[in-house]
Amino acid sequence: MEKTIDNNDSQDIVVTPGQRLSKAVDYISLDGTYVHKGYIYSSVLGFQHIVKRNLQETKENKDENNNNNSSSEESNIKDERDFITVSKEKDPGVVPEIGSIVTVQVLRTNPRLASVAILCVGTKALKETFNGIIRIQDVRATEIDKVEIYKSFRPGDIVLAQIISLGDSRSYYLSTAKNELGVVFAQSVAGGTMIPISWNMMQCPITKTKEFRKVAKMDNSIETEQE
Amino acid sequence: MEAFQKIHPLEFYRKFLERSVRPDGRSLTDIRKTTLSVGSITTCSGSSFVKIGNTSVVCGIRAEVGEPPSINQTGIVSNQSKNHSYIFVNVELGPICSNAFSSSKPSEKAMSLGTQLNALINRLDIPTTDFYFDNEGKARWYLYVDIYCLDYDGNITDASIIAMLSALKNVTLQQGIIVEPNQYFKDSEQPTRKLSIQNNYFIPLSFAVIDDYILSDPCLEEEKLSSGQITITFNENQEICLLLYTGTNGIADDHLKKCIQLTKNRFDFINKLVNENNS
Amino acid sequence: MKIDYRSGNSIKTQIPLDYKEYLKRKEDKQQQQQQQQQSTQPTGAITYKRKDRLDEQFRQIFMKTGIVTQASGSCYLEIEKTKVLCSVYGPRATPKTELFETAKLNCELKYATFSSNKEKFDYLENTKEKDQSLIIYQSIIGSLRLDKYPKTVVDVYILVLNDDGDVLVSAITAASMALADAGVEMYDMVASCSAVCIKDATLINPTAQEETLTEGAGKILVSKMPSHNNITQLIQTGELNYNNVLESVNLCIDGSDKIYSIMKQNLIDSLLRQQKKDGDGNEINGITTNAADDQMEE
Repeated sequence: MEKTIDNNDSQDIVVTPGQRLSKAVDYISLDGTYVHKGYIYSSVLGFQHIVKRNLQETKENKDENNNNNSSSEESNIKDERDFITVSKEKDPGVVPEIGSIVTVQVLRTNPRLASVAILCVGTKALKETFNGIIRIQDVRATEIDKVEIYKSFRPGDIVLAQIISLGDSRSYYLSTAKNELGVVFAQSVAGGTMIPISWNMMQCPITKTKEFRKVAKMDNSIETEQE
Repeated sequence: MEAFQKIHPLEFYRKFLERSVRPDGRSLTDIRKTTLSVGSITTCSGSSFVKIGNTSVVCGIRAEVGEPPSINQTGIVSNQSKNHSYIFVNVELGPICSNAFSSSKPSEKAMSLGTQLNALINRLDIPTTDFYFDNEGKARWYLYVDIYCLDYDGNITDASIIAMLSALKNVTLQQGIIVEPNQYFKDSEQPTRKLSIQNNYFIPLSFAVIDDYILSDPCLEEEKLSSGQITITFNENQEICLLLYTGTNGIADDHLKKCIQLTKNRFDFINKLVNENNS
Repeated sequence: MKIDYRSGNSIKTQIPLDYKEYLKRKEDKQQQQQQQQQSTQPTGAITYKRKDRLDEQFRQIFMKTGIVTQASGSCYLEIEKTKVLCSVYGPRATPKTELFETAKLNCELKYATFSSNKEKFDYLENTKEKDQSLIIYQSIIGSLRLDKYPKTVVDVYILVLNDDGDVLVSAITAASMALADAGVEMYDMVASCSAVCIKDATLINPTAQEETLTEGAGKILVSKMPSHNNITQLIQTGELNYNNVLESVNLCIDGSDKIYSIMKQNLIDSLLRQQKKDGDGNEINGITTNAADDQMEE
């Protein structure tokens, strides 16, 4: 067996898919790795990282839930093991996952839902778009019964949303039921870039007309708003 | 940055174009690095591999034997276009080179490009005797030129034209023996010959029009955003043999003149490139 | 239904054979007939000796990943004259989702029309390509962690540019490398090796000539995941006795392990090279430096 484990936060070890990294009892397997017959293997080409446990306190729960590969016996043992992951600098296979914040463009609307194309996951642009749906009950958190789709989104709008489920066979289901989610960029009928004036209104700088939107509350955490 | 480019690609490009550069670092008239190699495929009569930036195409020519074209059989085939029925060009834009193409649907781009290349080939004045399989011409060589795109990053037209010409110059044909009618064999002991097109050239250059800017040798992103595309091809006498403008807006006269001048500037480079590889 | 839209020749044409070969075949046939007349025992013993390399020796392999910039991952592979390009797209959205929990794998192998000087390939997919696509699919599907990418499809496209034997091995190796390059999560890479048995000799990594030497010769193809020591695909065709099969399989397993180590080293090199490049590229992100860089190129 190759001895590749270096306890210093080593970034320079390149591992290939299928390479045996360590015994399963030494580390907890995270992204880019899997457990097979008591050993941890790499599943991608990339650099091996050891993540110290104390830094990962918050991620711990998530790890236990998601990590189907590690045996149940392992997740029960709460010990001092560090996490092991393999990652490449360029992250290629971005796929929308439940919970991810995505940037979408509205394609068409009807009274029950808005069909959208997912353009970016987080700050990563997708090479090809995925389809999504924002259903009327997922537009906002309160007064769900009073939501009207055409007062929330119009085709062409750029919207921040969160993925809530894998949806039906064609599309992901998305939600904008949070303050910071909703329309971030929209053009008015006159062609101007509209300015948000309240949580449900945007104004056109050219004609001063107001249009209804489910507006996202701006903060600087998301890159698309840097325009 | 990446997200901005994805959501507002045109705005993103304008910001660069105002400063007369492109996101990949080229100026508006810069052409990506162009390389050529010939004869790398051993299973066919002539081949070439052309790379313009990331765009790469491979062209292979397979020679097959058949009866000489007769007027009865093919109808319109006449003496006017001598080599009309000897060379057939096809362009393959398969799913391997870009996500824009699928294997089940034929690509319109490939079809139109194939037609253009067939038209270009026709202007080469190759004597019919060059295609004789045996000495008397009882059977003829037919050349099938197939251009496969391996990586589609814009300006496939230029790459295809250069690939097609250099592969044709690379073709070697063998002397044949006819044992019985319809039984053709090539004689590997006889010397091989080349087509007499050694002094012919095609010098292509394509442009994309974005707003009022003319971009030489556009990459895929630029082609997608452009409102129009121009392709100019010169022949060996510095005459235009193909000029193509497609687009939604008209093009100004001096823009076109500038493009023609830029294509002329490319003349020596392409000449040298093709010559070096075929000597 | 696929429609062939390409311009064609109205005259039927064929690929001419070599005259010398034709004469030789004619002679052989006559000899065989004479022999059959003389003795009832069929001889059929074709002895073949490799000249340039040993029977279990591989030809030179060259591979390079990441050459198709439009694809998520790609690999170009050369085994001397055999040249194969593979590109991987995805995981990407599917127009129709049949599988919900896992990704769908799609493999398509295509021979370029000029890839062979004996066989004629059409633009449309023929049965040989379909069959080989399926073999590649079966070889690599077991190695992928498709459950990581629900509702998506991973497309693997392979184009054979030049066929000089051992196309399947090249294609499987290239596909596995391209998938690793694309960052698709997998249990292990698949390495593969094939052999042709002629009389007593087992020829590893055969050329096109060796593959077609005898009709119905025993052929073996092994694909495996070396780090788990799992075989993902084993195909044997033609007539072979039991001991020969065992021996050839063992030889192929050894061959796969050798290819695997080349694949590994190649991937490591490519990643380090890429990192080096990225490090250099970071400096030219701004517009101003871009222009400067541009002038330098001039």
